[in-house]
Amino acid sequence: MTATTDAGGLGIRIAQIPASAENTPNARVYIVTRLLPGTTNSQRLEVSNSTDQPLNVTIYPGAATNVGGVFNALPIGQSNDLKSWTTVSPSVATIPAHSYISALVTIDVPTPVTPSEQYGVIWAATSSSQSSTGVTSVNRVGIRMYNPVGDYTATTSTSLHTSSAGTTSVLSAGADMQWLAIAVLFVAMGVFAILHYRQWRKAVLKQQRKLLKR
Amino acid sequence: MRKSQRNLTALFSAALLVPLMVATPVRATDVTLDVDTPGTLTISVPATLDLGTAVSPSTINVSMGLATVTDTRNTGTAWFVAVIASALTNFDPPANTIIPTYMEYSSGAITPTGAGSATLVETDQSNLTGEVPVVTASAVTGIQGATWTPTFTLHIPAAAFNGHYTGTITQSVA
Repeated sequence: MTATTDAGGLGIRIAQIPASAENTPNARVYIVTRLLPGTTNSQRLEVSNSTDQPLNVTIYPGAATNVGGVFNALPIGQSNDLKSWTTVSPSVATIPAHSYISALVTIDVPTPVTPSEQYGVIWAATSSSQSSTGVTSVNRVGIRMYNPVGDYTATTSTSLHTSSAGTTSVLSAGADMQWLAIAVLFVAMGVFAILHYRQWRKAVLKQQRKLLKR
Repeated sequence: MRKSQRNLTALFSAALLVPLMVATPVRATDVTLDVDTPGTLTISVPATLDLGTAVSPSTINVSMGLATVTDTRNTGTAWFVAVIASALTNFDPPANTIIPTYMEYSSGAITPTGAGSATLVETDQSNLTGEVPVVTASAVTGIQGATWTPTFTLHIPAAAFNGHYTGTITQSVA
């Protein structure tokens, strides 16, 4: 691999993982919330500009397909249920150089809905200035959406790419130590009870022997 | 008897103190918070694409400038770049279009970047009607990316009218 010579660009990432999706694989890289009928689902993304110039961007949902585990974005003019339920705010923005904005993705699920898995992409796009020939060049970067709808359960394992995504809980080590402390406490109490019982029993036997001698 | 009971009481007190001493530093870590934010997928800003002036029929080959994808997600997640073009439209009467079946995209040599690794595959496309994949990254590890300098080719059909054409070419990464 060569060294990265990054002149910057238009970036996108997940800025917030909904509690309902925190244990879902790939929640750190894709929008994967289960969409229940009649619910409103919101999630924040971050759209960034790592160039030296301000960028005019548009942010919008797009439709996609996932056939045999191959994810494909559909052209802008095509739609699906997920795209029709999804809005992004803001949809237009100017991002200063070396800065970012927060974008709120909202998915309003109608009722009733047919259980299925829906696919889409939240796109952030920026354009070149139009050339003298009238051709505009656009570059887009997107967050994929893999959303089960209703009680849909995947029957195959091809719906998501495998990922090693994961978070480390900083509280887990502390929790382990607390359990250890509680275990030590119970063991100590058990030892105390056994020793105390033996002493008490000795005392009772001694007393009985004294009474017998009399 | 009393002496042994005192000893037992002392032992019990010590046993109580041990877990408390162990637990004390735990409480200090309970207030620690480390929000681990995911990394970013980035694409370079597009260069202006100037097709110049040409006659029909003819073929134009134009460099689209450096394209760069940087993936700092560090999650082993695959990515792809797809390209789509609109028809080039001449709104001067009589209106005329050159449809994307006359357009091609060739990524050329792809240079991997970053400390991680990925299997990069480029696919030249001779019809830009749909969102067609041109670069795919699989078997991804670590922070990585790629750069390439694609060439856009336009075959101007003999039936194309004279005029000023406008259109859009889009490169997408997800």
